[in-house]
Amino acid sequence: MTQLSTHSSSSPEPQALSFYKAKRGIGSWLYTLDHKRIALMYLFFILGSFLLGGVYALLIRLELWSPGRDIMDATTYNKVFSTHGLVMVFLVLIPSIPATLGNFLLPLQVGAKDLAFPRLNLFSFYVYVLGAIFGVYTILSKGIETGWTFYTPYSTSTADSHVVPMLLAGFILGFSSIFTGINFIVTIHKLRAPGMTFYRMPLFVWAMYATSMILILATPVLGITLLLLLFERVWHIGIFDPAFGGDPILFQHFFWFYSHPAVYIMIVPGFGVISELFATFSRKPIFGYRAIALSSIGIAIIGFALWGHHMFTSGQSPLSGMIFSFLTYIVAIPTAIKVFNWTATLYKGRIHLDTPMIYALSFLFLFTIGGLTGIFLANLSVDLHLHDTYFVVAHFHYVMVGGTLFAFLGGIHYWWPKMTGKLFNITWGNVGALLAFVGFNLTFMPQFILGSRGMPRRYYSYQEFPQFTELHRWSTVGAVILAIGFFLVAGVLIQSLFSKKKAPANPWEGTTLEWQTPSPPPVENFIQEPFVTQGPYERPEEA
Amino acid sequence: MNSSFLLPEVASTSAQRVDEPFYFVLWVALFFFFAVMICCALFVWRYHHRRNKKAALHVTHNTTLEVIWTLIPLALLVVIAVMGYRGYLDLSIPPHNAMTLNLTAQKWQWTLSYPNTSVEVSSVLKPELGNRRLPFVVPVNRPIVLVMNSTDVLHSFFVPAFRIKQDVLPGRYTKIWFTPIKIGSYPIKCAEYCGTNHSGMLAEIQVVSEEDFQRWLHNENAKSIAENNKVVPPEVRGKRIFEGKGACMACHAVASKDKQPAPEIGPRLFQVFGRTEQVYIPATNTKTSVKVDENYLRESIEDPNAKQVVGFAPQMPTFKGVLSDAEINDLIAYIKTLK
Repeated sequence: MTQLSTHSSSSPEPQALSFYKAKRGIGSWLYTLDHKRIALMYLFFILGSFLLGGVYALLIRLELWSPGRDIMDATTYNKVFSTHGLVMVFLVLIPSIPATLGNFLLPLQVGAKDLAFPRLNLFSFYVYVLGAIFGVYTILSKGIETGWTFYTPYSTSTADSHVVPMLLAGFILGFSSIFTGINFIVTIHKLRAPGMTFYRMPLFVWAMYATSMILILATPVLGITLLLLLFERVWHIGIFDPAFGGDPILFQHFFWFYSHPAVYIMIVPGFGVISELFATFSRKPIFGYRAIALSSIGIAIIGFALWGHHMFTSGQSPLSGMIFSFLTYIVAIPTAIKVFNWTATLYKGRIHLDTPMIYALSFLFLFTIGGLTGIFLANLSVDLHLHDTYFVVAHFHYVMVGGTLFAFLGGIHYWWPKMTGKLFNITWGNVGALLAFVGFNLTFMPQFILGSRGMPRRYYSYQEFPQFTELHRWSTVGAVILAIGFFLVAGVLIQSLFSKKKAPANPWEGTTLEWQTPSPPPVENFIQEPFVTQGPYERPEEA
Repeated sequence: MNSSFLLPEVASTSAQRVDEPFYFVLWVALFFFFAVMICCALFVWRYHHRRNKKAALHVTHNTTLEVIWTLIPLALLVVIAVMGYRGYLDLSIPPHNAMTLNLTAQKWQWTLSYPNTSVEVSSVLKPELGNRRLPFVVPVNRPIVLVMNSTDVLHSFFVPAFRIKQDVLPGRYTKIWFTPIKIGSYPIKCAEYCGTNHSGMLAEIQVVSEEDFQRWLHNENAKSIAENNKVVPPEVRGKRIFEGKGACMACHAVASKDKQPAPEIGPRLFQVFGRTEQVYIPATNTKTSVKVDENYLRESIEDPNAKQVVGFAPQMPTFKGVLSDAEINDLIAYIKTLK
């Protein structure tokens, strides 16, 4: 266990005032510089966005119940799937773990009082809110039906979408990402507690570092791309639209140069959370610590070089296709190593199946499926058949929802006692997790089959192919079960807030620094600056 | 080969290039998935804290194991990558003796033309055929290459039974080739989102014997030449433009609802001439009613968003510069016949 310098007992001084009580009033939240309060404000907005994106998902699945029209016309459907994608990617998944768990836990895990730049942190929150406002404005006005990918020349010419404010939303949101990335990198370099070398940092911190590298380097490319798209649409500068002398494939290169690393922004934090969960709930140090730490960095770097696997049928050169395919296979190796290492951590451990661990094991199951189905898509020949079909939709939902979202929920449950000072009901928490797990698989497993049988994505109707009806219906039923599961999860967590029982400092027998301080922590995180003498997952032998 | 549980029927030589790596990857994936999951399940059961009282804290490394589980997956992935390359290169390079056909994509129909003939087939659903479409006829066992172009946005030509897909771009030509091996009809689907009726942008490829194909091509060509040479009334010329170059049929139905059910993307033109329409005029932000006459029809073709029929999205493109005055006259003549 990383030790505090003078205290050997595991219960810290009881007089420390929790950060909630330190200051009161709405102003003390809106103008706070405390990373913990900022994290909670982000959490509120991200969960709200998740509800919005989730409602849109249900609308999609309801419309696809029958081959023809069920509840909406084609243009409305196209707006619904586009909005679902934009909200989930930019308002939920990209910020999710870094802005909530990262902001809350990073200073605690490195033994610091706060992030390196608290004001920048608050500013990045308000930039997120501003971007979200532009996004919500677009949705409430004409809406957007270009798909979240904005391919040209459809996005530069469609009259059915309010494209410009949505592009501005994306542009503004990007700055929130960049500022968070800068804050994390500087914090990790400069504010680690004495004795915490890089190889004594928790794996969640390594994951935040790798993610921040991508946030800083990739996001500007998206910003520039969206701005150029705006100029094309408004002033016809002739860059992406052939009608004005531009090249639609150029747009795809620019767009995916960000959007592929973006998926690593989404999943690498998840990997960090999962490492923490496997170590704590096996009561054992993680297997292959260095491999996991360095593989995150490796994925971040290599992940910049394989964007073209989204473009195998686009008209790019076959040589480009071959290089992108090869690099996509290379990046699968560090990912596979993590999966093996997590599994090996269980070996000869002392396993506790509390709710966070249920999420971690679900992650292993779902992410492995997502990752393995990526191998189909990375294959140049197979992708010719599977590209733009439901196989792709199923693949990315397995990694984004089964991966990122389940890791996020696992982390929320794991650190819930630390953040709120409350304990949730573990039995009902487990039921919620399992319901979500079952609902998720029922929703998306049939979609692999729909895809390989030839059902394209972004299709409003499948009237001429009624043979797809049964699989679509299973998928819709699954979505309803998934929704019920999520509502149960929310209910369990909200219910805990009303319980009188106080959570102890270390309910899960964790070994990282955040468990050495009260639940919830005081404003300055630690009464005394921690001093680190060993690795993050070392623990004393059981008696 | 017939369809399997996961894949559609096999109707081209290309399919083998896709199905082979597909099934290889499937077996590799299933193996690793079950290997990991079974280990997990075993460990969770065997080392659950009620069954295992003491964790082995020192078990954090095993260099041999880690090297093995890095190198074996790497080797497998290299094999899989190379399987993909061979198929992909094969599918990118049409054979020398391939028959070239020209494909045009536009919102929301496909048009196939056969060089050295006047034969042009469009994929729109025709009410006079009981709301069916004419198929794209091709001969079996002969390599065929499609030179493709879009007149508006990105589309993608996808034939699941052939296992082929290629984006169709405006401002550029892309190619795709196949050799059909089984007589029959196979769906063509658009696989790049292109707006309102993306899911309705479908066509049918019909593979026939070589003699049947030659006979069909010869007859169609003769019919087409005869049509082109005939002095035809403007209404008939207008119908050809409506269903061909103008692609009007993609959005505007021309028969009654029971004869021609349609997604109503644009106003139904059945009995439109002389009708009174409610329109919205964006220039003055007012609503008014107009009587559909020759002038209104011409304005709708050249400046479609000047007056927008209430209840429809303003998404009709302009045909000014695309259709000549004579062609617009012919279209108006045809529309007047839609009783």
